[in-house]
Amino acid sequence: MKKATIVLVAVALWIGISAAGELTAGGNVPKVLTLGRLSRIYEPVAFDHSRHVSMAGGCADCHHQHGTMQVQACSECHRLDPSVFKKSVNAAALKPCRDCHAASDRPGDISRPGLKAAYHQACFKCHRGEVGSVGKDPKGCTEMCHVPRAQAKLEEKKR
Amino acid sequence: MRRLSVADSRKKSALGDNVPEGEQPVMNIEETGKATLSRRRVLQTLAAAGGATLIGASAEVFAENRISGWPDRKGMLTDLTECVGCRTCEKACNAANALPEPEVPFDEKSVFEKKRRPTASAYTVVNRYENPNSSDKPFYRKVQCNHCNEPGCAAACPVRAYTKTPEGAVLYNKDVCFGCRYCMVACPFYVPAYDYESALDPRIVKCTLCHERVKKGGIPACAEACPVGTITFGKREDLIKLARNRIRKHPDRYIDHIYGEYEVGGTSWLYISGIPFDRMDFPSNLVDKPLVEQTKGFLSAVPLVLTIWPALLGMCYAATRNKEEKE
Repeated sequence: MKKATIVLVAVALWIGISAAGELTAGGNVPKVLTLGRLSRIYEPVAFDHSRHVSMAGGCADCHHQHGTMQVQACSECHRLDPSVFKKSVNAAALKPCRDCHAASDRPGDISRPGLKAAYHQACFKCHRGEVGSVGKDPKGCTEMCHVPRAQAKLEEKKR
Repeated sequence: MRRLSVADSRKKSALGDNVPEGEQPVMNIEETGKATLSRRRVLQTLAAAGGATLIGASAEVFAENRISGWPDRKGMLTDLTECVGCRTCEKACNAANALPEPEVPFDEKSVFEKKRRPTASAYTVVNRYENPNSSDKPFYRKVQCNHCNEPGCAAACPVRAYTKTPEGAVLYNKDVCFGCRYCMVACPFYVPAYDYESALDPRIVKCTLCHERVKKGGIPACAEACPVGTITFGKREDLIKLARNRIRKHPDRYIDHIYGEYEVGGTSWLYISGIPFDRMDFPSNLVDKPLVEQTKGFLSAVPLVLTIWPALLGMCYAATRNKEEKE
């Protein structure tokens, strides 16, 4: 029972990102997120969270804390507010990925991947070979998610 | 004088000095308070000098062990199971080293049709290899200088154009190089490339482990650019622990081998892989000892042979010639 609750609570936000996004009517699950914290070469990525929710087997497919062998207290990652929790079990905030996965280009904690690597590793669980051409063609990056900054500027000018 | 007899006789036998004790003048500090030069003293000095020449080789061994002893030297760990072949590292390396624009753009997959080597205009290249378990997920191998602990290129260089730095990088100095390209032959990984474009200005080109960036506290450009975390930059010791941890945690994902931990005495660049390394064209016939150890015995004998043999043979010749004349 407790586990089921935890899983439900884990329906999560991709926060930590300069995130905007409409919320679904029922829970506090974001629809489309803009991942832009790391955008230097590429434009921020529009991530369709609700589409992924409908396709993924469960939250743990991407939000790695669940289903791993790591022993962590729920509160280490989830900010639980009792008043909100009564209304909806989904209405809990997930700790931003960047709190653990550093976004810096300085040598840091090598035991866990940086923010960029953490994102991509989560994506490539499916988007490597199976969905899209990442892993087979270097063009896969721009086909799948990324718009190069230079290209975006050109398109803006055309408009 | 008599008190010294045991030590004295030992010294004598070591010198091959069979003159009876007492018959010769010796240096006697105790009696006169002054050191006087004697025949024995001269012999001892000569023997010591000869001995030093003979053990010269072992003194060098000590010097090289010191290289392996820089505990904080940095390295890179490439996890070949993570790489998706996006060539972002190639692009970042090109920008960081201000290399010329490539003929084929960096997002072009046709380059994978051939196995490439680093060139004067590309310090690192990515090659593709078939995955025996899944044709959808080919493996990729990033090739660049491995920055050996005891580099063969440095040992082969006649003008010391190569330096192993305490930070881990093996650096090349263009100013002293005269273009013999021995380093290219000596490198077990076929890494140093020659800039054939500049015939009058010889230049070897290879990865520098972004030495300048690292000294400023940054990380190498390829490691920074890699989107998947394939390349990890850190202390070599820590990287070995990290690699061992990953292999232990995921025995089904990795083969139990850290390439570069021991190969040719260890390299700064380490690799872990899901398939045997020889299937990704890693040389699998390398010894665990530094390559320089293979040639040192012979090379250190060369000066001795060149100085002693002519004298020895000359004496033989002189001796036999006199004999012949008498007859």
